[in-house]
This record gives sequence, C-alpha cells and structure tokens, in this order.
Amino acid sequence: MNKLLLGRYVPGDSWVHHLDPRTKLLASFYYIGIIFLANNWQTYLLMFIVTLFIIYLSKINISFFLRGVRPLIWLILFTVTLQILFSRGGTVYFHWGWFWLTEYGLINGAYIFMRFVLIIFMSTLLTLTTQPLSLADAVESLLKPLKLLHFPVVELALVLQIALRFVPTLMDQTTKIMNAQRARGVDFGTGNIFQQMKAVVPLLIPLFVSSFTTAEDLATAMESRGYQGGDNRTKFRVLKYHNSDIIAGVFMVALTVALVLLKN
Amino acid sequence: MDITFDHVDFTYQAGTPFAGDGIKDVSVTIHDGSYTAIIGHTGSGKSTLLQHLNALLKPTAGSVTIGDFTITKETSNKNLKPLRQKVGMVFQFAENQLFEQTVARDIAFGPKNFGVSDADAQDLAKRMVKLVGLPEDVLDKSPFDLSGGQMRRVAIAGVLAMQPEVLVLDEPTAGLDPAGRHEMMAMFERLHREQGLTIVLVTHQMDDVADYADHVLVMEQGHLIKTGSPREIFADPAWLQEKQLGLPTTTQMAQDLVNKGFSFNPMPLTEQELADQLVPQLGGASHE
Repeated sequence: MNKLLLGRYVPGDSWVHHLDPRTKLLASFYYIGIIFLANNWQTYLLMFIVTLFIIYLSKINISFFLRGVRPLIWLILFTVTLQILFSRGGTVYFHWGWFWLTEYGLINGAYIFMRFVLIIFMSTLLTLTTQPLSLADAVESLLKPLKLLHFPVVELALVLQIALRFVPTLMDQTTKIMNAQRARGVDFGTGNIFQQMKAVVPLLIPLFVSSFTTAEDLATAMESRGYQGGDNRTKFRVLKYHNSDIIAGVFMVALTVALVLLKN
Repeated sequence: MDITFDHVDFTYQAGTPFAGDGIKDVSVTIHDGSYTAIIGHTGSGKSTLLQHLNALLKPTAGSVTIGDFTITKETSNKNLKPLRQKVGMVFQFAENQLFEQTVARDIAFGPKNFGVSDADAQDLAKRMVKLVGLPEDVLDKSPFDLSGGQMRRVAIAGVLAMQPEVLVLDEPTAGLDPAGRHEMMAMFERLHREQGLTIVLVTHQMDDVADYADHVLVMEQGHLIKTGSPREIFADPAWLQEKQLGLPTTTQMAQDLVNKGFSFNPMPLTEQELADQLVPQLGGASHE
C-alpha cells in the first residue's frame, strides 16, 4: 500500500512547483486534450520533447515518472496488443484467423503506447508538484461559476479537502488494524476467495467504526471553532496568478499551434 | 523463549524514493521471563522494534531469533502463525481492533484463529474478561456499547486469550485514567510473576519503568543506545535529560533533595526505597 505513487506530493522549489495550482490543473487537462491532436511521428516527438522539458523544469528525478508508469504497464500492453492484433491496413506481415499483424496496426500500437506514457507522465507531474490541499483549492476556485446554478461548490470543496487530508490518516489506521489482526492470527490474502473475503471483515468493521468516530469528533471540533457553513468565509490560502502562469498559458497555446501545423 | 536481535536493520519502503528510517544495527537479547521496558523519544523506533518481535515486520538486514524461529529478510509470510500465537501484541489504542458482535466472540476470535475449539474459546473468554477486571455480563454486549476504558480491557483480554508466552505492550495505558492505569499495570505484573510471562513494554511513563521493569532498552533515532537495569539507566539524570527522557517521580524528588544537601546511595526508584533512605537522614537531623 505504501508503494502507491499516485497522488504523492514531492516537496520542491522549482518553477513548476511555484505555478498557481489552477494553472497546473487546467494545463494538465488541456495537455491531455491536445495529445489527441498528435497523429504522426513529428507531433509525438514534439510532445515528448515538451514533456521532458517540463519534467526537467520541475527538478524531479525522471525515475519517479517511470515508477508511475509501472503499475499501469499491463493495462497499457494489453491495449497496445489488442490494437496491433486487430487493426488492418497497409502491408500485411502475418495473418492467422482473426489476428492480423500489419503496418498500420504496429504504428497505431506505438502511438497508443506513447499516448499512455505522455498522459501518465503529465498527471504524475501534476500530483508530484502540487499539494493535495492546493489542488482542492484550485477545484473550488475553478468550479465557482457553477454557484450560479446553485451547485454547492463550497461544500464540495470542503468535503474534498477533508477527504484528501484524511487519506494518509486512514491508510495509517488501516495498516495498524491489519497488523493488530494479523497478530491475532488473521491471514490476509491467503486461501480461497471466500476465506479472503472473510478475513477482510475484521479490518473493515473497525475502519468504518473509527471513521464514524473521527467524523463525529471532527464535526464537534469544527462547530466549537465557529464553523457555521461555507458562506461568507474568508480564505487563508488565497490563490493568485503570476507572470509565470501567463507564460505557461502562452506556452500551451504555442504548443497547440505547433501541433496543428505539424499534424497530418 | 528468548528473543535475540542480531544486527537488525529495518528501512521503511526500502528501495523507493520515500525510504524512511526504522531501526539501525540493533543487537539485543530479551530473555525468557524478563520484564523489559523500551523507552525513547517519540519516533525513535520503539514501535518498529516491537513489530519485529512477532514478524509483522521483517528485518531488511540481520536476523531476529524468536524461540525456534529465525526471521530474516527472506522469511516467507507462511507458517508464521505458531509464532504469532506465542507472542501476543497489544497495540497502541488497542480498542480500535474490536469488530465482533459481542465481547465474548471478539475475545474468542484470537484463540479460534489458532485452532482452539469454539467451546474452549468461549470458556477462555469468560476467564479473560474476569482477569482484566470486567463484570461477566459484558460478554453478551456489543463491544461498541462499552466505554473507551472497557473497550481497551476487552482488546487486551482478546490478546491474553491466545495464551501467549511473550506479551508485547505498546503504551497499553495511554489515555486511561489513573485508577485504570494502575489496575492494568498491576494485572500485567501479576501475570509476569504468577505465570512467568515475558513482558516487553513500550512506555513514556518512567514511573512504570521504575516500578515494574527489570531490564531497560533506550532507543534514539533508530539506534539502541543503552541497555541495563532501571537503576543503571536512571543513575545518570544529566544523560537522560540530554536524550530528552525524564526520571521517575521518586528519583526526580530524590535528585531535588540531593541538591538541597541530602545524599542517597543508590538513587531510589520507588517510593518505598526513597522513604527507607530518607527516614534515617531526617531522624539524624532532628537529634541535633
């Protein structure tokens, strides 16, 4: 469980770290959007150069990103294999029943592989350089227009922030309870499926119960500190755009233009 | 059943960018039938050390020998069950491990996992609930209807029901009221004395260390920096202060009295010892 890299934040002091979280969030989504514009070798090469450059700017070791790809590698390979075996067109190298090995299939497989890697690199970069709490702030700020439609933006942001704050706490709690039950003779992850499901009960019930207790304690503590609902509160962490955010925006537009010019 | 640590290292999340320190180069033997206290500053690796005692964690280097078992990096998770039965662990805030519908079933859960029959396990539950000082009528209640202190007792009863040879306690009295604390500690002492149970206790209560332990391990930043009897450990107040550890209340008072001109040899650890040495000195003073 501790090996999970997704959603981890690595403290740092780089140009990317200092960008406004809203910029990073929007830019990441935008980037994932424009990856689909790439459809030939030149465009993918451009995307890779840009991605590696941004990673270089973030001063984070590339091994972190490769580690991010590792848990998804089987999904990626599965998709790529299907793509290769079931696409037709161009020169046929091999053909057996439903399966085809063709030029187009191989090229498409390679494109999809690169697309996956780029998306994972970019989303890993987002979480590695942005604190979860500022991400929640960014979501709140970006969703603000929805208030006009009576969408509970502030409440959603609060729930998101509390949830993010308690992820590590819950993980710790899970490990502790697991250890306590293992010490009482529970074998997690062994036996047939029913035995394994049964073994989870001594873990799940205490976890739920302690979540209820935590929720109750937290609600009491919040009320006693004067929390009366989300409206009309001031903010401690105020988000502000800087020059670097404008540069990032311009960069994204320039990248889009370059992609459109280079694509087929 | 001796427990021997031989140059044990443990690193959390070894081989990842988030690798964190656990314990480093720990070599020590916890003897059969001893009452060992582990003290040290928060984050010094005490709890990490404890989890090696029944192979919940396995050393990243070195080996731990527990009775007939030798645990190294390569030891597989299978076949550790007999070991877990021999070493009972009471974790910090043990009440969080309760989950069954009734207290009786929760206490019987441990023994049943180790192959004790249902009837025998129920019988054990009845005995254990008395042992930890709860009335027998809690057996049919839901553990979640009990108070925090009672839940802690049920959890401890659940561990004792496994009838371990070694009892490992990680701050068993944290968050209990003074009376509850005293009762708990007295019960562990009784088990130690009457049934020859080996006890390993992690605590920040120096009074408990002085009153009960016969052996003390001092941890700092993952290293085992000192071992000895409580008298040896508490003989040097300046050293303890430097390691951000306190003295037992009695020794502290004796130390304050030394500064006012009294002398003690050896430094008293318990109230009785303090009183025994203080009476002649006070008596001597009144004759002048």
